[in-house]
Amino acid sequence: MRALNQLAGIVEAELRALAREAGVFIFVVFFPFMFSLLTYGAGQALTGGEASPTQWFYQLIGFTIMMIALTMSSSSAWYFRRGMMTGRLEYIFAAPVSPLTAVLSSALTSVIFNIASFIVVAAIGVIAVYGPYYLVNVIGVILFLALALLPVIGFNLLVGILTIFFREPEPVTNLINAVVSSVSGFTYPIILLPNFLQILGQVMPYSHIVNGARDILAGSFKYVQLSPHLFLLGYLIIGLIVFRVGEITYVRKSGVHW
Amino acid sequence: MSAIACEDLKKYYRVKVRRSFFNRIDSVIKALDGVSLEVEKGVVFSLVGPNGAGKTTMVKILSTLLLPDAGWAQVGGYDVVRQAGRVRRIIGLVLAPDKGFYARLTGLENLVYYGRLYGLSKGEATRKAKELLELTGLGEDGMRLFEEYSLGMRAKLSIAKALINDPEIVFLDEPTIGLDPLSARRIRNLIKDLAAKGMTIFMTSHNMWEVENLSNTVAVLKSGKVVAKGSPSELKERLKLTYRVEVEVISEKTPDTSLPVITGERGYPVVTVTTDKPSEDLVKVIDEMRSKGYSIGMVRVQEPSLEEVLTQVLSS
Repeated sequence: MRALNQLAGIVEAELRALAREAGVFIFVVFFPFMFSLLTYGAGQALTGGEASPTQWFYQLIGFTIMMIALTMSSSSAWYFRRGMMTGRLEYIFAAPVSPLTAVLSSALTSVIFNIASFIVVAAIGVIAVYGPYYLVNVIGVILFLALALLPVIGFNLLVGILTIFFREPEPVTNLINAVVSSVSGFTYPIILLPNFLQILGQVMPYSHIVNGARDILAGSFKYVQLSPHLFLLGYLIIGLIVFRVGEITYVRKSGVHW
Repeated sequence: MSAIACEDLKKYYRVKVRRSFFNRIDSVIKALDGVSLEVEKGVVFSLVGPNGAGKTTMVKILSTLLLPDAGWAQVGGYDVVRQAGRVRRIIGLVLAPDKGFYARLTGLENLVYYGRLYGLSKGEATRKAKELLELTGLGEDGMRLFEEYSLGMRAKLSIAKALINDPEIVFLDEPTIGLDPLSARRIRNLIKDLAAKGMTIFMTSHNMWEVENLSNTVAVLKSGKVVAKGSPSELKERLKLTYRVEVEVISEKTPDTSLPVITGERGYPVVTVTTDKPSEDLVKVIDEMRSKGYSIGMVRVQEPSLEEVLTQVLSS
């Protein structure tokens, strides 16, 4: 109960702080529209006006999930970095709260924030391409994302613990984000990639998330598509284990107590 | 049982010293080198010393943020390494008065956040936060965003944060650093109030006047070692620091004496004596002047300051 109360307290504070930085939310919502319209426009120009609106929708959802993937992969890393810079991290460690609770709270905040931005983008996209009747599918995607983003929290923890060791999140997050955005099929089908990159794309959760989200919104999702997500939950378990091992190693190496 | 106790506490930092682009050598900085201390319950204890003496390291070990390399420390009777969780429940901490808060949250929201970290329910945390905003004099300013706060207000909020869990012991690392005189005075009054309520305060400061006025006990830390400890008056006595006795003589002419004479603020001659026995010498000077028929005006005995104590201890 105590941990849940702490978790709720941190999530509430983080969400309140985020809500007062409207620019971040506007950017996350605006970015997919800008880039999907650019690529769709380019497609229209190249095909002589034959690109279908569903192609734009494909790009729109792809860019939205890409934003979610990029922010979620690095949210813990930035939580640590911001905490170090503002002195908040020391106060958290000086309080009777587990670092895992603090990091999971930050990841959960990221999930809530990203799902909120996805709802806005997907609702506009669905209405524009499929009509208001398909809006009900947005609810399905929210439920789907709540499950499918759990493995990403595992990724998040892995990157977070690396930041504790290296202090600067950029080198780690930039590398991971470059790989994730290239092989996850956000804006093109991964079958266009060489085999080894396709495999890399399949073993990470993002390609399954983006394809699942697109299919649910278009009404063509099959329940069998959920099965990879159950296996991908392994990332969450691995993330939790590595975070614990990293914690112990960090304490032993640095003499910092948490 | 003492509020804080530690024995032979050591903390070394291993750093790399860059001699040239390719040449780096390992070096060890002894932040704490065998510190033993005991702090009684309900007192204001100050740790003073130059920059890099190990004051912040000491605070961080006692507040469970750093692990010592050797020795032991207890806070509230709990071991800071093995019972860190228990220690964290009974302490409050201010490391830097302007840090640790969400810029885009109000003072109240920040305090509620910290209250919940200490396991208070949202309702309890809000009630306690409002109480502390009143106590620290922030009141209605608690509804303003932290980023709009002045440094003085931030310092007050830091102290409020440190009190959110009703701690038995509060650690304050330079609580008035960078504050204007008025804000610093408010913080000092707040510390006095907390001490009057029986809370144990462990603070560090470079402001010797502040330390002298607030502390029951002072320890001087130099290169990771405690080199002097006692109440401010004990330290002055032990170091045999000199007092300056000034006796103003109501006369137009310089009095006939072998002692040094200066012209005072009111234009009269002032006989001055530098001594380690102020009471005896004061009586002697007054007797001598009276015996020569002079009237005595103002009398002043200037006590040595704690700053002089620190200067003498550190330079010896």
